[in-house]
Amino acid sequence: MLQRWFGDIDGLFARGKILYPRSRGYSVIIPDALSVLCHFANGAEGVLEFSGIHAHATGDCLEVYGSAGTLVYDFTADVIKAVE
Amino acid sequence: MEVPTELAREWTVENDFLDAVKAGDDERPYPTFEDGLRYMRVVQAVADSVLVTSGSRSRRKLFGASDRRFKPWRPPDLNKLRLQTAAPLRHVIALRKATEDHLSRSITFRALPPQQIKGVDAPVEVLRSRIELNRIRLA
Repeated sequence: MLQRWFGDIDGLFARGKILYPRSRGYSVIIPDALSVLCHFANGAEGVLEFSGIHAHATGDCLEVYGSAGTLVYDFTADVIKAVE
Repeated sequence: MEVPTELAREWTVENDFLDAVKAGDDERPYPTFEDGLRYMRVVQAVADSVLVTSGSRSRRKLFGASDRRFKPWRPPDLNKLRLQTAAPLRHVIALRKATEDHLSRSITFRALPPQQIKGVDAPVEVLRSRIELNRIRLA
């Protein structure tokens, strides 16, 4: 979705960690906490945070800060907020 | 958390994929194959970056490998990253003509002798695939 909206990502730095190696009887092999700093070909910078274990999280959200304003898309509530 | 009965459904991802290939529709849904490759390159870059930036204990947990195989971190060149594919790059695949036509921009196909496939009456045309990395470079 990010690439569809903002174009190609041409560089990144990522860290990940498995905090709970066992879950519901399964051996976890995918990081349940992942942080990515990325750079888009159009010059935009991205900060991506993913967590599968974040207790009481506020929900999935995408924030876009640009020269003309700010967009905040709350996926959980399916609400878009815009400030010019 | 229990899934409400009205929201529960069977896992059909693989069947959905096969149905999409078998349909052979001219009109392809988004994302396209090429966009999917671009997406997978970023996912692979994230995995490669995690591999070389996380602590050794996490690395072993993540990838089950020894520390000796890891090199100092350097910015990844997305055009040189290995592709993560469901099948090996030189895998033999069977597909319909419409799918071959659609993928021919990125993949070179070479015909092999037709093969009998379980559940299919007539022999199926089989192609050996080769992804042309230089034809799907990022802009």
